[in-house]
Amino acid sequence: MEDNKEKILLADDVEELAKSIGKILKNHNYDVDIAFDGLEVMKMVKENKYDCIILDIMMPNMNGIEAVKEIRNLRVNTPIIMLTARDLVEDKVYGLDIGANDYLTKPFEKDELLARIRVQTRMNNEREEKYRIGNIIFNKKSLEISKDSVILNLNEKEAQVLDFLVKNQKCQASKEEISQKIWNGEDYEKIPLYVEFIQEKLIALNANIRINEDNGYRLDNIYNVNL
Amino acid sequence: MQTSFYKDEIIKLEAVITEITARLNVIRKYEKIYNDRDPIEYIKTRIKSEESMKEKLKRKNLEVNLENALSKVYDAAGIRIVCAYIDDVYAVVEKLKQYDDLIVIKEKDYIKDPKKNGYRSYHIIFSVPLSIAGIIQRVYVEIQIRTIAMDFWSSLEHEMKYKKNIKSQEIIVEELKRCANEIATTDINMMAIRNMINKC
Repeated sequence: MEDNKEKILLADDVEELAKSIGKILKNHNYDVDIAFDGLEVMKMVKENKYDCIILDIMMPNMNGIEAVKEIRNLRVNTPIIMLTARDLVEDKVYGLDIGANDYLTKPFEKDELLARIRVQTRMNNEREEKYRIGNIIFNKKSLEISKDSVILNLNEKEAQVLDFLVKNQKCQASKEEISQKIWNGEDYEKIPLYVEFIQEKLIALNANIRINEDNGYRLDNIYNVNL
Repeated sequence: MQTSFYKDEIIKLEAVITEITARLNVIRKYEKIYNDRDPIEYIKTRIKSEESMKEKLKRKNLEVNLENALSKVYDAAGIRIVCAYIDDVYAVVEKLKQYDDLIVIKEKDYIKDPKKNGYRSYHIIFSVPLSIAGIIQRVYVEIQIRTIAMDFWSSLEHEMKYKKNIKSQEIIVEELKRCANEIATTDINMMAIRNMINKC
């Protein structure tokens, strides 16, 4: 199961180019779908959920700009990076104004494209409050932790504790400190209970991280934690 | 009794179930005395019905005969062990594996790796030596070990599987999967609470 891979939709009408960019993305551990025109893009966007969409502006059957418009009309908020061969400022400005998140002018360096994708998915995950910790995904909004297709639910307090631990991975925090930060110091004696709940879920998911419970709490690599 | 298909071989199937059940009862009694709790809530046993055995043989492209039913299909005799907590499931698996004379033929941990539909359970097939009329013979038995919550889920999923033409099948499958995740979460929470209580 590869559900943890980020999924990218790449659209370019130049087949060779699309395939070679696709190969680079796959080599960098992305799951990639390729479309060769705007209509295909729309079909794929309706059927799949992507982490990032890369659109060439010059495409037959609905160009990239129109596709951006259509995608946003569907209320799909996936980050979009436009690719353009033309160095036309108006195109870029218009594309960004109607909902694209970034652009790259062809020819571009592959490392720059990869970095821009990382920026977009990172910002999107932050917006959605989705965090990758080790081999699992913590979704604070939907109160879930998951690995591959296995999803376990968290209650709101567990999610708050885990969120604190995710954001403070460098320090070992006491239950008083955690409760001070997230619950104004109340209910600190309940922190160990929620930690226990989270810990059992990490074990059940076969996660490669655990909560280190030596003198306080901290997320840690599984190998450093004595259970 | 389904003597028509299994003929006299039914003795072996009954015997393997009796044998494993007896061993499980020893495990339960021992655990109650020495660890103060029984890891097993209840045990269900069954011999595969003639009808579903024939169906399975056909599905596997095997000739429908008694020999294949006992040597190529491993679940003619089946035992389901239902436990309260997830760690009990693993404890029972370990206890069974401690018997040197039981050979593990196949083993699948659907609790760690649930099926796509959300099904969770621990499956293990043993080859069990039985002494019948002075001869030692090996007989297969499939053991499924799961929690009460997983068992509850499976019985509903089973009902759906055998009903054709359910309206809004897709939504039901999706909802069942969501329930499987919720049940798994509850199983884990219950275990965590029990651990906390035991620590007090």
